Amino acid sequence: MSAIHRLGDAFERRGKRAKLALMAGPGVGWLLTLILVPMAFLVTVSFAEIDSSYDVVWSFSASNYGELFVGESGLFQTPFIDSFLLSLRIAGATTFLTVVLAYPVAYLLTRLSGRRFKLVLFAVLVPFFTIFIVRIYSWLSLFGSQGLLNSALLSTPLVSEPLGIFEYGIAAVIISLTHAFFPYMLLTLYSSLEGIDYGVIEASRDLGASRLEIAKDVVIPLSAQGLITGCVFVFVPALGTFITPQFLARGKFTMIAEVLTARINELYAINYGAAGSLFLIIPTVIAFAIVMRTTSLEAMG
Amino acid sequence: MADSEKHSRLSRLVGEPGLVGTVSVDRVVSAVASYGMWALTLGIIAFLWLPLSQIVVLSFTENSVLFPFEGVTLGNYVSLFTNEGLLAAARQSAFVATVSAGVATLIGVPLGFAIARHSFRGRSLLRGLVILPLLMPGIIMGISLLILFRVVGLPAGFFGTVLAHSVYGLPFIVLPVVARLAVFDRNLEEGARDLGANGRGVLKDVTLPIISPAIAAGFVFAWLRSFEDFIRVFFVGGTMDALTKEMYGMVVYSQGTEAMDPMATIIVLVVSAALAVAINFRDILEYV
Repeated sequence: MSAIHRLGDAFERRGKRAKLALMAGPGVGWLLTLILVPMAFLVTVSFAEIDSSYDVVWSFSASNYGELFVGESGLFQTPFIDSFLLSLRIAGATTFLTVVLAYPVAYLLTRLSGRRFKLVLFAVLVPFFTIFIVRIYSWLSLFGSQGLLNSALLSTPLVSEPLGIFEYGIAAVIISLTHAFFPYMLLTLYSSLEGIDYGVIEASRDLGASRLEIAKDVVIPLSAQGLITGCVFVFVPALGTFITPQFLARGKFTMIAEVLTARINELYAINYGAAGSLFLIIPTVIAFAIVMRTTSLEAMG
Repeated sequence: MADSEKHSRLSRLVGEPGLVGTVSVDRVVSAVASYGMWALTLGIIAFLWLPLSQIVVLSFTENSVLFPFEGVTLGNYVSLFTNEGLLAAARQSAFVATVSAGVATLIGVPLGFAIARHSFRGRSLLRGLVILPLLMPGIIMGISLLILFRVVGLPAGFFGTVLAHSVYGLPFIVLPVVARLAVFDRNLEEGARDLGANGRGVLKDVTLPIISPAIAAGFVFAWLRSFEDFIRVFFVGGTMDALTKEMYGMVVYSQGTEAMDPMATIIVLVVSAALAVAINFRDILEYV
């Protein structure tokens, strides 16, 4: 290859690189300065202190973490730890329920086509075009001992007193979170189930597998990738949820996001808030690693 | 005969090819399974519509709770359109959402092209990073940006909120564009080029028209997520008006809440219509 050719190639490569930089540059810059840098910064601030004029003092200290963990009655006996453990349980229950509810719908969607498919899909998605906070307000009047659900049940001969599950509290929070995160689970499950070759299912049926065996040995393993992604996309945001417990727990308990918000907003203790945020950042990073290992981006569209 | 007809009808119902020569026990199981699947799905849809239907019904009733029923009215819509504070907040939120979704589109579409069409170092990491704004809890984005803006001296308000919401909306643009380009038939571009179109012409007349429903649907989703976001604007919005902050106060102090149901009803109509137009009633899921 002549020198002139090599020069031409080099120019073309540089042209391509410049074009690529122009295309991806702003997006990469956005993600770096508005996601990664602030997160790294948050972790740094969690080791700093705040002076009386609410400015960050850059001296290393672990006292913010001490405040999280050491309570008056001993180690790990703090409202923060209680809230964190409760949030983990609530997010776990929410994730489980979304899987149970979304799996059959996602499977049905893969077996439908044409107008039926669009109708079911639209029916599933439209409820999520309501403003989230209005939806929570709507749950507020559905739950409670005077709420619509209990009043409706009381007017039937089936129950004689308000059901505990429809009172404000953990059940109400889990039910409305399950409602809120359902579409994430449905769409990720659907896109992984859709990729399964139906011929494989027919073949295993021809070979004598029962429905249960097919579900256990064929469908679930083949859709595991979507299942994991869906779980991650429900669990992590559910862990950091704020408005839902704020309205539907009615002060019976607080989730981690409420503790952090109260600290930052009322006391302006951003160092304490930053330290507590780490308990949401770490799950986010773990979730990110899981998604990176299991999912191709094309499959997530 | 009637039984097998029923079976084939059921098979059509679940879109499954009729199985010839299967034993009748399996047929019964199949029928139960497909009816069960439909019953379950309809039950779940009823559950999903529970708050929405209450919102729509209550937007037309006298009372702010369903029982005791006190009659139908348009009064709630009147109180919405006479609530100047709420309307101003809604206008402000709509403005923030439009700018944010616009910025996300301008940045996200080229990023989607770069990820889908080019190979470069760190590409797979970048593909992963794109989902991070969707994955991370909103409160983390809110707190971390609050601290960053404070340290670099950016006052909380409109500008900060647009920055936060534009990165929040980025995945809704990039993911559908990448997915759409992945199944895009590049022969179409090839053909246009053979017919004498230049690079710009191919992009304008072939590529963009094909992926534009994906972009439009992405824009609608990014817009809605910005419009209904509370926690991010709560931290970085400062004293700026925002619909969700206004509504939060309305619920906390139970004041003027009768205007919330009409507002949500209008939004659900507008967004459903916008989305239906954006995707032209075609496969919604491809672009979600």
